[in-house]
Amino acid sequence: MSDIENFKKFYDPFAETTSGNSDALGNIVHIRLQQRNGRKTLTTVQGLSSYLDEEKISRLIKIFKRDFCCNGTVVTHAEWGKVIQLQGDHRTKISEILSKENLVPKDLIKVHGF
Amino acid sequence: MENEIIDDFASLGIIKKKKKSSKKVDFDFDAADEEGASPDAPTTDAAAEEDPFDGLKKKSKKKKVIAFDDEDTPAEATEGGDDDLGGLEVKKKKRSSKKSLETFEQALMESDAPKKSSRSSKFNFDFDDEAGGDDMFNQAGDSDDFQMDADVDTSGDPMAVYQGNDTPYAYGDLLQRAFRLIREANPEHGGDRKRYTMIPPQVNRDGAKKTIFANLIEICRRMRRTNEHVTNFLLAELGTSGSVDGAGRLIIRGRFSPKQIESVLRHYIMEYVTCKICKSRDTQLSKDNRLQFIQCDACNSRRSVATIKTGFSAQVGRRRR
Repeated sequence: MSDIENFKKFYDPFAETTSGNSDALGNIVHIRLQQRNGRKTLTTVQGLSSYLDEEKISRLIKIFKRDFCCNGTVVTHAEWGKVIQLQGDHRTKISEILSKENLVPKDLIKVHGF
Repeated sequence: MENEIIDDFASLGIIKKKKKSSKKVDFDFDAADEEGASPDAPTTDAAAEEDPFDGLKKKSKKKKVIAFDDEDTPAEATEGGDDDLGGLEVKKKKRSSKKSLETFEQALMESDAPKKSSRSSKFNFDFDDEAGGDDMFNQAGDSDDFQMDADVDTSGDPMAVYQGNDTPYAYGDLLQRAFRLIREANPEHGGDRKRYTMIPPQVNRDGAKKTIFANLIEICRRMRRTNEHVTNFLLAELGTSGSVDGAGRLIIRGRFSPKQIESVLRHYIMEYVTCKICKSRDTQLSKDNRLQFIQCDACNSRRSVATIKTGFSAQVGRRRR
């Protein structure tokens, strides 16, 4: 039965597309990776301020720093609000934690980069 | 405060037992709201992520079917099966299967011809991927792979089992047979749709800190997108800066491997090329009242796409003063 390709996954052509219009809500959390010198990288998490207040962000970064064994800061940007910066590539781990702890709904987390 | 932090750790999965209770205490903000929103969230993303494998599996299956026709061994078996089913002339069927193989090979050759690169180094865009539409770049099987499949599957003609004995036909086998016959009779109805091929990006290093993306223009032409749009997307996704040089090559600051560039391109195709309705890549991007729209040439649907935003970029390197 499972050989039949049409039955493998239910695909609803009339369903709303989730990506695209979620941007209209304006509160996507972007997780990006930037290259530094050599093989070093920097992970930035932008857009958390619509989910967490300042104190919680600073508490969250403490947890990130300890769990990922890296350093990091919170930077306040004029346009993007509070942005978390962490040393190293922690994009998947961050998105996992954010969605697992129900801090941010999963389809509003956008992981950028390769 | 100290106590709270500890609770907080617990809430983020350090201490599993306290998780539930402490979460309520600490992240008291909009708990209901979050929980309402999240359960349906994972489904789409997970599906999208799993899709590449799905696509691969499917592909191999498609190959299998062709492999059947390849060998003549199942011919007797199908003969018996045909008599049994009281349907089709064996001769005609055999010939058509031969022909289909020929056409398949011809198609392969044709698709290979324009680019002299070997088949293994090319990507195939599969038209019939589902929901996520992820498996566009799936690697075309190289020749040994193909061979292997043929070896494995010649023995397993589904109808061979029914030859001679009175076991009732299983639905799956019958369906498989039906699909095979359809595919042989008229290939365009059998789900054997043409592939959208994309050439792999040529990426090489320029010194230690720069990456050259040589065939940007060629790729853009294939996707029917402007240079600038693709460049903007690449640079925004990779979080770097770059420029297009005189020869039309994109020079990106930072080290990137071809694989990384390819995955970003794949994202681009998913977001800005693929039609969300019919999964066709035969689309056009147009700008209208500051909004960008994708118009599908296959199904004529039209949808808006988000503009490319660079977002926050951290200060890297020496600070200017």
